Amino acid sequence: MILVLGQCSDQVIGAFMHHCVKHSVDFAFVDLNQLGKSIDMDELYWFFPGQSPVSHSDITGVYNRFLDWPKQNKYQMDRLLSLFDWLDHRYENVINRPKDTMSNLSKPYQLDIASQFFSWSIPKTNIIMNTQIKIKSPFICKSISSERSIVNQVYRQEEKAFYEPALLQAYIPGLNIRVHACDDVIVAVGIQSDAVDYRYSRFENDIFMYHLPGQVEKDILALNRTLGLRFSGVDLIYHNKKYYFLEANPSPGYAYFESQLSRPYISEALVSSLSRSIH
Amino acid sequence: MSHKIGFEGYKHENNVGFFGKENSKDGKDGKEGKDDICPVATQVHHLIELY
Repeated sequence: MILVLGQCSDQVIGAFMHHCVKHSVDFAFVDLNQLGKSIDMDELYWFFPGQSPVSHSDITGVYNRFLDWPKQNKYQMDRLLSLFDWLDHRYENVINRPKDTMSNLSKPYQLDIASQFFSWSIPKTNIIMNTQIKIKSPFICKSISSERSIVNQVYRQEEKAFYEPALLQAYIPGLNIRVHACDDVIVAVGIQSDAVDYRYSRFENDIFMYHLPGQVEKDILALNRTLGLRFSGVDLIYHNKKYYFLEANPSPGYAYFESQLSRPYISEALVSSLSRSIH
Repeated sequence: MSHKIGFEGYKHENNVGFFGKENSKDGKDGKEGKDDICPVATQVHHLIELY
């Protein structure tokens, strides 16, 4: 049985569970807002309302999409911390362990790791805060951390004020590529969009399967191993016959991309990885 | 018979469907992104060039 951790507001969880239902894959969903309330756990079992206890030993894998801390009292916080212990140290098969998602808190750290691979380049990157600058060439502005921000294009503004630390990257025009890598399975899509940040385009994006060079695929798998990630969503841009690395997302919202494809390649890879025992 | 524990509760909470509540298109967290960087008052001026 696959244990699915997340919150009801997460549509990616919904898409994954929908896939499991369609393909008769056993799963149990832990709504993290209910942990310590209607859902609980001890050293041997999970307890769900109206269900027989589920033994930890019956769980083949855990799909962890812990994105936000729910509101909690002390008991619920204790349960969350206990769950983290299980995820980081006790369950054998977790995608991804919380400790391995921490690289997402610092994009500069990720970029530093990614710069060690040679099949892509890193856009010229600056970190800036509490100053006003003149920008003479096209730059991309985004959050330095995991905090979601709309990626803005900053171009030839007279003066731009920055307060909180921000990442400024040289704007690279070209084809956006999203690569989902789950263990050794790679699914890459190209995204044609009218917007710099395709997540917020005014019109439907054109999404299609994209064939990456073998060395880029190898480097993405190696990058995942270096970051400790078994599942990631890597953003690349292809421009003038070169690939540029933007970032690696440890909790990728893959469902949107998959919904545009002819097969649920990524859900299939997740189920395959989470259904097998790791020893 | 397959187990789908918690699925009915999830569907009940999301009765608009899997993608009906999205603001962003990748479904990462269903939140609006920020339009700009939030200001924080401090006097430090800092510029680090990484690459």
